[in-house]
Amino acid sequence: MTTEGEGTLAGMQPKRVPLYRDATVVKWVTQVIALLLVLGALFFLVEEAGANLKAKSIPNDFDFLGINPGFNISEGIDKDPNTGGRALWVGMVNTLRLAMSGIVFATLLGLAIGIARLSDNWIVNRLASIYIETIRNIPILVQIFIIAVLLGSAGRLVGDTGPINGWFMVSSKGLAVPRIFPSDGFYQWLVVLAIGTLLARAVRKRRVTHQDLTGAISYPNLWFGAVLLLVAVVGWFVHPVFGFLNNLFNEIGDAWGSIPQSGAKLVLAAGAVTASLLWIRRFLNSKRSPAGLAKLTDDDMFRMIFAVIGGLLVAFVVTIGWPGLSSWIINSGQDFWHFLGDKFGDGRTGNPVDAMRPTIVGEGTLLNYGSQGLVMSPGFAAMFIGLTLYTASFVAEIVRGGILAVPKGQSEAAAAIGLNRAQALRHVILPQAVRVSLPPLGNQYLNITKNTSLGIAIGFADVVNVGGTVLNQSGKALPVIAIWMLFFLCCSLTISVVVNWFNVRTRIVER
Amino acid sequence: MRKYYLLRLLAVLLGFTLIASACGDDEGSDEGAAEQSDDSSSDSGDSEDVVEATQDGSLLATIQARGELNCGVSGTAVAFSETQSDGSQVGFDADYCRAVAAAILGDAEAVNFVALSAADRFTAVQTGEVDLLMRNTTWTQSRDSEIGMDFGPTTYFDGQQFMGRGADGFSNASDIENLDGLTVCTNSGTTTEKNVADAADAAGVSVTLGGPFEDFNQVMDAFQDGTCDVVTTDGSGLVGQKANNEPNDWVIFPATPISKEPLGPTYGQNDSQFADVVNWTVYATIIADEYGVTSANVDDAVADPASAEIGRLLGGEGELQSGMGLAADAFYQVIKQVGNYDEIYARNLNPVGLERAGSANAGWLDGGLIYAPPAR
Amino acid sequence: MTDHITIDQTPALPPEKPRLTAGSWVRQNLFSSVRSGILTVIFGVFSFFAFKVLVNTMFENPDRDWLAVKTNLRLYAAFAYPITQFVRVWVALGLVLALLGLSLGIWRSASAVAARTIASRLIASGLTVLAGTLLVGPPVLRDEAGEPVYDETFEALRGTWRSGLEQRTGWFLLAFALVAAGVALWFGLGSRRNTLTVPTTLVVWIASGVVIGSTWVVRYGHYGLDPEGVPVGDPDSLVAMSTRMPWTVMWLLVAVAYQLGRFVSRWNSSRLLITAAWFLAPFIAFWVILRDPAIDYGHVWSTDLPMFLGFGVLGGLLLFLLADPKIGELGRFIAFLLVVVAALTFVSGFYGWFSMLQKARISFCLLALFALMANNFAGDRQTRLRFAGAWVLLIGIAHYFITLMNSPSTLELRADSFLGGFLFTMFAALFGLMFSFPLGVLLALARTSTLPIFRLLATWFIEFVRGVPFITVLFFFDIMLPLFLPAGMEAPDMAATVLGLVLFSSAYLAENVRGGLQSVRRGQYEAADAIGLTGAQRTSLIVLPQALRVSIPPLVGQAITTYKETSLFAIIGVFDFLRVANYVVPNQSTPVNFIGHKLEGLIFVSFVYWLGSITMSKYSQNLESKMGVGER
Repeated sequence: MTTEGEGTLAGMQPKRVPLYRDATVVKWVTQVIALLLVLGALFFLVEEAGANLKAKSIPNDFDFLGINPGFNISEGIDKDPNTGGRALWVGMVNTLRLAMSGIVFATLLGLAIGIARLSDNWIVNRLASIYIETIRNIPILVQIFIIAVLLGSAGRLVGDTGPINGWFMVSSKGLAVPRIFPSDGFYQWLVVLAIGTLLARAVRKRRVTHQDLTGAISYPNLWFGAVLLLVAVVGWFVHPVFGFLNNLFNEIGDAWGSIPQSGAKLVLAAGAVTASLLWIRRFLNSKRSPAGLAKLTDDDMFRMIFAVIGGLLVAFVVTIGWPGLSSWIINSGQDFWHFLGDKFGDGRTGNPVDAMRPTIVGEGTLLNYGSQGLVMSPGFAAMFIGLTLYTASFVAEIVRGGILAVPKGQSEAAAAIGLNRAQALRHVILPQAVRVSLPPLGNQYLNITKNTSLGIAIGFADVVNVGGTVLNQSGKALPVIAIWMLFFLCCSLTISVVVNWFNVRTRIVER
Repeated sequence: MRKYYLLRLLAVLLGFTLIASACGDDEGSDEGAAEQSDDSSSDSGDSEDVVEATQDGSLLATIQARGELNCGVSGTAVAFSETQSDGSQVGFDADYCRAVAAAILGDAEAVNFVALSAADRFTAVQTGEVDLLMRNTTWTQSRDSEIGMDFGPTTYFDGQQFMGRGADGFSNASDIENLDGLTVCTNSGTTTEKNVADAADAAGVSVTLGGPFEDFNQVMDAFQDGTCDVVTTDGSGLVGQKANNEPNDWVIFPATPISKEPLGPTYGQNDSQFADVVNWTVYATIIADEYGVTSANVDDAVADPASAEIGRLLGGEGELQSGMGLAADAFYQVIKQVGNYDEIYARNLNPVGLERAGSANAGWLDGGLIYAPPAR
Repeated sequence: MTDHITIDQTPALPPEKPRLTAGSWVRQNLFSSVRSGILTVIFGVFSFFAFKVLVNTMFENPDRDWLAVKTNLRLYAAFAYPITQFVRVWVALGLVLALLGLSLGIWRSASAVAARTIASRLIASGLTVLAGTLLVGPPVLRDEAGEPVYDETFEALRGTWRSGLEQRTGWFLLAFALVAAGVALWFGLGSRRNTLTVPTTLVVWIASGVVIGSTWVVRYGHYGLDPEGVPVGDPDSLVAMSTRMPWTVMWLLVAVAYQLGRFVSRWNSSRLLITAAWFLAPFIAFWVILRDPAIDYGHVWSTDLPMFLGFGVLGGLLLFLLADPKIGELGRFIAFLLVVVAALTFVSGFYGWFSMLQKARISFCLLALFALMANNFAGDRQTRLRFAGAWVLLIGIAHYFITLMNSPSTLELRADSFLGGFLFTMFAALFGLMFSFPLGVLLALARTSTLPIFRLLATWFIEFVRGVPFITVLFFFDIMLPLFLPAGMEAPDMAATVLGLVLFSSAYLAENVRGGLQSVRRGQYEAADAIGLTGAQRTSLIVLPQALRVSIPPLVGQAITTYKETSLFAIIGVFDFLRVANYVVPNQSTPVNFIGHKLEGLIFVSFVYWLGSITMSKYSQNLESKMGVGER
């Protein structure tokens, strides 16, 4: 199979390639046409949608963010939001709350089950594998429905509800457990802890040096923990001494607020341009070898052009395109420092952390949980349990895969240099297993966050559900869908950035 | 080498079958109109002309070309529109969909029911998924003006009430003051949500809103589990739910509803031809009721009309239906196939215990609010 | 060129593990150390109580009424599909099962189960049934209407243990039969039980045969609604003839198809044909069998057939010419011209410059694509003829299906969509996977390509879709799709949801394929370049086959995910499998009152979903290990 013209070496004399056969030209022309096609299709769709919206007199703006949404929300930081934006924010916080608790508990449960799956005890091993094979093969939505039905059949709230009366209560009003919460002196205590951590690190470093020099086992981590614990205990009582930070933060806030707007704009624009230039410099440096600069491909040129355009675009947006941005940065920065200042001083002498048991309020048969304990609404509880159980089965498989991926020679080698089982696990197996498991684990965290959107099916007030209500009260479908997607994209981006950061940290440093 | 060709051919073949079918899917959707207009042109026919013609015309022409009315209903509202196991709909609202279909198409069964949740009902009208919404939708100023809806004559005058358990100490005499600190549930995206908050503020009590629940079945599940202490929605809905879940000790209160909920047909804005048809279909059932014309005796009424008005309405001399773009006997078909207002009411609402006499839904001569403009 | 890779070799037997006696097995696996012993006791007690709670939640519980599932099995299968036309559902299922049998016969799977395992599994399942039967509480007393009887404290009244055990003779018999079969197999085979293996397909077939065959003998009871909607509930009769007969036929059909498959497997083209049949089967099942189009033959003679002949003959002739090796630059020019024409037909349609049937536009589009490909098929007369023949075949199939789609259905329907229940779920998953696969491969190629704009577009699309939840995509397509379409064009629910599913899962598939592409080593590219393949040839002949082989396990994983994702359709109001369980049945007050019976349906739905996914995942594991054996 030779294409005509090529392949034959007879015509060696340089023949000018016609323009439409020139690889570079064809490549770029195809790409540009493809880009135009995609843009054209998008343009057509948007135009069509706009015309349809207008023809059907569907309002299509973001006004609803600023006006009264016309409904209350059953749970969250603000049950009676006064604007649509605030209502969506309440939904977002609920989503994040659910996602974060899901992530923590799914990791813990998954870790336990993944290790149980590797146990040499037959019954533990079997139970873990039955759990995994059952849970991961049933759609999450079906599981959430089942859990919601089971919670609903838990019966109405009565005086002595639940397995551990007064501590852990289960009823059709949801779950209630004791609540531990930061109280008066929490932030002052945090400062003590921060200082304690620095101190403890210094101590650990000394111990490690000691161990390296003498070879004696000097328990650096034990020391680290002990020092931190000591500081924490002492700090529990002495934290009020940091009350003076109140003034400091307020001063910083005032200083921040006095930054002129034009200055902020200038700094932002200069930052954007500098960043793009720095990136190009780094990029060129990476292409440079002792032999000189490598030949730049089209692709490389494209990247650099894109970086310059991106930088200029950002600079343009922050200076001219979006004048509100700089003042927003100034104002919110000021607010942030003042907010921080408020957490200090002013008679904050109580315990940093407090705890309360759940209570029951109401009379007769119409009881409800009081605000003292940590109360999960039935919707939250069903979502939380469902997401945790479901994701744990995937985490378990990832953990098991990660541990199995460590070659057997590694544990044998660890044993050969005299490490005991725990030491081998801690210093040899786990670090390598974590490295293998991190990327898929990040995917699972992403999945939990996305799966919180199923709250709409059982009446949990997450961002999709609240957005649905807003959509329906205001009739503005497109803006609400856009907000949903943006929110979840931001979440995904955050999680991938965090996972990538961990990934880079745990990567083997190669030559 | 032979193998290569076979493989490659197969790959290409399969790939394009997929593409072809994918493209075809779009066409399959505008099937009715595109292919009905069969002009016997042999190649690349101009069959799409008709589609494009009807696009610019009114909804009425589109429905007549399609041969089917797309009617949005709740599907979960007891006695108003309930989805049956075979997918069909029964109820008061469903019958009014059938009445409109009978008027436009002459066939009460030419309805394609689309079950909509409260959340997507307006979008469904806006995007043209349904032509008409008969989904116990309250007529409010904001919906009429802001959301791009128009409302037809009210077919059922309702009001929002609460329902609680007798065992919890509720009785017919209970009032909103008794709700302090309780969890009240309703489905999201309805006017009831705001009404509760307003009424509670006015009475100076604080209630917690459960949910948000997408449809009223979720609300009833939560009520039966005990997650919700009290549920609230239109009184008719509560009566229906209570009837459907017998035996129970539920009570509905307060006697005077906390809000006005006029329910009726809803359609897209600024299509007066279609609006006229829907409105006059409703009026025709009311006028027929005033004259005592039922599906049983409508043939006699045509033969020997009690007055010129009912004669015109049923397609007699001087009829006005043809001018509306309908068949002359359009409203005769409505009465014949579906019935008059009283029949529709009695058939669907009496079984759950909603009586017409003495309520706001009695005829205007009996002290109710059901009233139609004269047909002349 | 005939040494294509065969996977139907007998696998190498795993190394013989030392067989333990019962006592030493227990010592090694349950009580190997003090810690292990404690764990065994704790988790043994835990599993006992967990099992007890599980069976008591599901059976002999006053809140459960399994009639809700038994009576409504037809709703679960096909929702509102007309009962008088139900034979169509069976024919569609038969088509799929026949293909399955053929494929199993052609690709004889090497996976086998040791007789020892079968015997021990039989005994274990028998013991489980026995334990369940003993652990379930005494029977709940029910009145004539089937409602449980309660005492003053709202506790359901129960009979005695003894009456319960007497009522459950059937279950005891089942347990006994299972154990007996296992024991008989174990001792009947003697020492051969360790070496004898049985193909997995045979085991599954025999097991389902026992279940299906038993419906002719055992009185499982007859439940459901007759065509007038009157409930039938007869616990003491055989399963309805309309259920056991079709299943028996299906079972025999699989066997016949399997034998046929073994017979035809010697033909070289059988594998290609069966693959093509698999791709066509969903379309035939959906549009021909289930939808039963009323084809307007007048229109066929006047428009459809001439159009097909025009495109087929003229297009075939053109392609025959284009595939001439001597055509040179002219061929490219004509192909380019055709692309422009195809694009124009669409653009003109949108702006209403001139109108034509959608079918013609699609045909032009296909013709342009074929013309672009023609260069690759240049060769002798026979090759060119085959190329032109392929075009005629393809355009015939395409026109046939488009005509089918445009014909109205003859079904007497009372719901807004003609498919529902499990059928909807199955077809949505099938179509979703079929369309998302090519799209995913294209996206993966674009993302790994050296062309920056393609790479950028693909990356943005993939990352965007992967970053948002499926439900928001579904809402978008459900609510917003009509807005983005030109006026007058509507998309039915099924099309909108499947489109959402296709776009969503193609992004994930693309990432799986990308993993495979990255595993193809640099040398393969260089070798392809060295023998003078063009870029397209390199990709389609060298890189993709290797990449796809590597990514089969993750692709099956993605197929399972897609299958599970279909459950989300229930949220947007499509009457799919889950919505029947979660919404339709629990709200049924007539003809039988099942209000509030949600859990039964949900358990049933989870079981069906579980069965589907576990089958796929076991198959994938099997494939994975086999590939591992074959490759390295």
